Amino acid sequence: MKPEKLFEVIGEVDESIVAESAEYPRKAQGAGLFLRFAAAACLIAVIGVSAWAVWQMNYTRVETPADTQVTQEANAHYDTLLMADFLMDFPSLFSFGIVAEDGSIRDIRGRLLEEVPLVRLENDRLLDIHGHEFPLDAPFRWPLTRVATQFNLYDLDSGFTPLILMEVTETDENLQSFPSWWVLYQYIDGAFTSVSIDYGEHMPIALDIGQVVGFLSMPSFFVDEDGRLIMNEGSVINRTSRFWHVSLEDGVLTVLEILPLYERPYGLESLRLQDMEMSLRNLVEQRHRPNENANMSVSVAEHEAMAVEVARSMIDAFNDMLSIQKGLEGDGQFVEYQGRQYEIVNDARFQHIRSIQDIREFAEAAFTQDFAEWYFYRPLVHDDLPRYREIDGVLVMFLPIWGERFLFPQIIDGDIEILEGFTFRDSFIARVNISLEMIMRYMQDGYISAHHDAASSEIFQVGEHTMLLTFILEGNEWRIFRYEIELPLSVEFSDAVATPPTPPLEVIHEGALTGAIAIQGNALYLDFVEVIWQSDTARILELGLSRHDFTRPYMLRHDNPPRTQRFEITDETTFSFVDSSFNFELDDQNWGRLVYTNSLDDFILHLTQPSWSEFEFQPTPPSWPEFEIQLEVGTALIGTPTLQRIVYFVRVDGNYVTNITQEFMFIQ
Amino acid sequence: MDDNMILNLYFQRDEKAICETQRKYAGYLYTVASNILHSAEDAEECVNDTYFKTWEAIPPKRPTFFKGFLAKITRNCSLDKYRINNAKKRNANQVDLLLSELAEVIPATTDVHSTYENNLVAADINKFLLNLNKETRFIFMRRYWYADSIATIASGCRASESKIKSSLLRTRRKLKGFLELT
Repeated sequence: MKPEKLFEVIGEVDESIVAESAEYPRKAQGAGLFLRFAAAACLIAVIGVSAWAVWQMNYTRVETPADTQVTQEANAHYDTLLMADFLMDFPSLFSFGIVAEDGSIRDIRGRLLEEVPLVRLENDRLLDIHGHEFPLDAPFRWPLTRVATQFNLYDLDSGFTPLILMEVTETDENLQSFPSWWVLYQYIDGAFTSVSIDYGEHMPIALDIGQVVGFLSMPSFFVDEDGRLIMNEGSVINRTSRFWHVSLEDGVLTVLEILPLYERPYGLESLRLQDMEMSLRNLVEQRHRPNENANMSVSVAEHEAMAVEVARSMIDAFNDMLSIQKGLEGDGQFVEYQGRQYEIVNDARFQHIRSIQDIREFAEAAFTQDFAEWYFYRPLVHDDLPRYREIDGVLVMFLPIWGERFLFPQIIDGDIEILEGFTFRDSFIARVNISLEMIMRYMQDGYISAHHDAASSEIFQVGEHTMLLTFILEGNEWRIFRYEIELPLSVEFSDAVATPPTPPLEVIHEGALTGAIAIQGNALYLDFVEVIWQSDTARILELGLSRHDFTRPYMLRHDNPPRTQRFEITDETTFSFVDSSFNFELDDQNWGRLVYTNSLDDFILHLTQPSWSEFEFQPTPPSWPEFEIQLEVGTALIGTPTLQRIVYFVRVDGNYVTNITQEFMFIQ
Repeated sequence: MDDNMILNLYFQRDEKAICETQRKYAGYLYTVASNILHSAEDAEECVNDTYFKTWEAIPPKRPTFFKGFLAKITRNCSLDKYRINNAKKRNANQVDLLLSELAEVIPATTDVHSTYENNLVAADINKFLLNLNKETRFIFMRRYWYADSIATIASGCRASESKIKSSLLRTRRKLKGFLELT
């Protein structure tokens, strides 16, 4: 086809589309349009320099036993408690943090999550951790459209919680409400007053541009020192969409939003967190796995693994929850805490369990290539991608981030029964009946009380999608929840075998090693990735795969356990990459922005400088400290760590690197 | 005069329809034409052709989006004119640059009878565009439908040229992927 033909065809698009773009936006709207764009881009800048770094502060890696095996069959199923949280506007793959001694908030690996201040609200005054009035001119103002890290931290002893201050900008004008699990405070005219403490519905709220609002993340319930699960003061148990494990150790409350755990062929990890040893293997053994090999290991890549201890604690927590729930039956509508009674306004319905997924899987599966960005540990995709995608038998929903143009991938379920066919790239609605197994593997009885009187269905609207939730009563307990989701799918199920890219690319990179890279000084660490093309029938057979396992022409496979090798970069090493960040002055005709250089500094610049840095939309967030990072594969270590999740092609001569090439072919 | 009233004039075969169309859309149509042709004379000719063709088309047509309907006629006229001019090696312009951008979208194929080439219809492009978010679609349309220059789009959108270029680059890539799968 000639370009002219394409130009002509483009001319035949629907007149409504033509009319829509007939005029440039007026100044205010235009600014909003592109400030929003810019805000999103700025966010990329933030996350581009934020670390996918492993800070092994209190972290010990335990080698996996040699006899662990992963079967492909098991990997095809998600043997976990997976449900999408359709009610949330803030899907996250996990939300977890620990208040460290220095007052910073870190994840279970000790990585710094975000520099947000810890505050305590006392008589509508905000106090910092030293008990002083918290200065509200602190440099933690984000535009309201910025996604706030979802901290679920609340220090029982001190009552501290992270404060996220946001300033309402003109890009927020479309916001109508806030998620209900936040306590919202408005800072107006020097006073910081609460708007509402309501964990029920979303709270409609009027916003004025320039107004500063603060969010204090408050969990709905927690475990007190006696191990009882209780509600947070002022909160209600309602249709919460999260399950929480709460642990109290050394005066620090850790609230885990859970729940993992599914098998991916990325290796078994054991983590040691402070004094809490987590063993996935043990966790697996605890779980009910009727058709599985006893030696099967659970594979987890880089997401946090939950431990037996956590799981058991969760069982306790859930049992407590259930006790509360059960206590609500009849005329019990109160929960007692520290001598006070708290009225249960709404029934809790334990509908949703968040899943923790392998980050790499989503980045890879989202076809996101240059659309993928990383926000801490969560992959984001630009919101002009289809909302749903079936990946390896699992329906993944990309939920919009509140106020942002990005989507979080969220696994909906591992078992999908497709009620109706759907067509590719057509906006047909496909009805998908997702059967959710409310097993609560870490629970002893597997029952969840949802307080429904009978089988009932409720229609929820999430964005443009309508979902029908059906609750089924078995005996006195709800055993299984069913979701029927009407949504457009953009994935075609067919037997057609996708053809790999044209041979030249494979030929060009023949003999090159493939994987994610990390550079420290002159050392290159390569986290090996095997690229399996759909046409590699022998290899596919060897791995026990089938072409139906391929949702794209290739599959990226990591060794189990992950394999990393160190090479040496020399003055002769050349680098080939795509300057998508516009860091280099290139010939105008170089539309592909291909850069060839033997300058390691140039390559590092490319790796570490994010796109969109020239936007002036928002003040730069607090600078990230330079880390002394013990290497985790796939992470660039120089200066401010950044993320390079693209598969690189590395040519070596013995132990020396001759060339590193970046192609936007694969993303892992 | 609103579009509905103008269309009624067409249906009444009242020649005031053309005057009203001209009054309301001349500038817009002229921009569409001159973006492609870069010649005042040629653009004016195309716009005049548009009025004529619109008069002939309505009735029986009654377009829902009159503005877009007119713009399409003008664009097609302009494209025809462009081809004639190009054949005569006149008016080498931004369109050449734009076409070179679109060239990278077209997937390489060794099959001259490839399906996408034979069956690619506007409906597919429609679907592709509708799958984009509004801003991205807007930029894409301004560039590849209205043939605005990068500078014009950047100025109109209050964004830097590099951002517009980047958006277009990404959209072209997506379109390429889309075309490869059709």
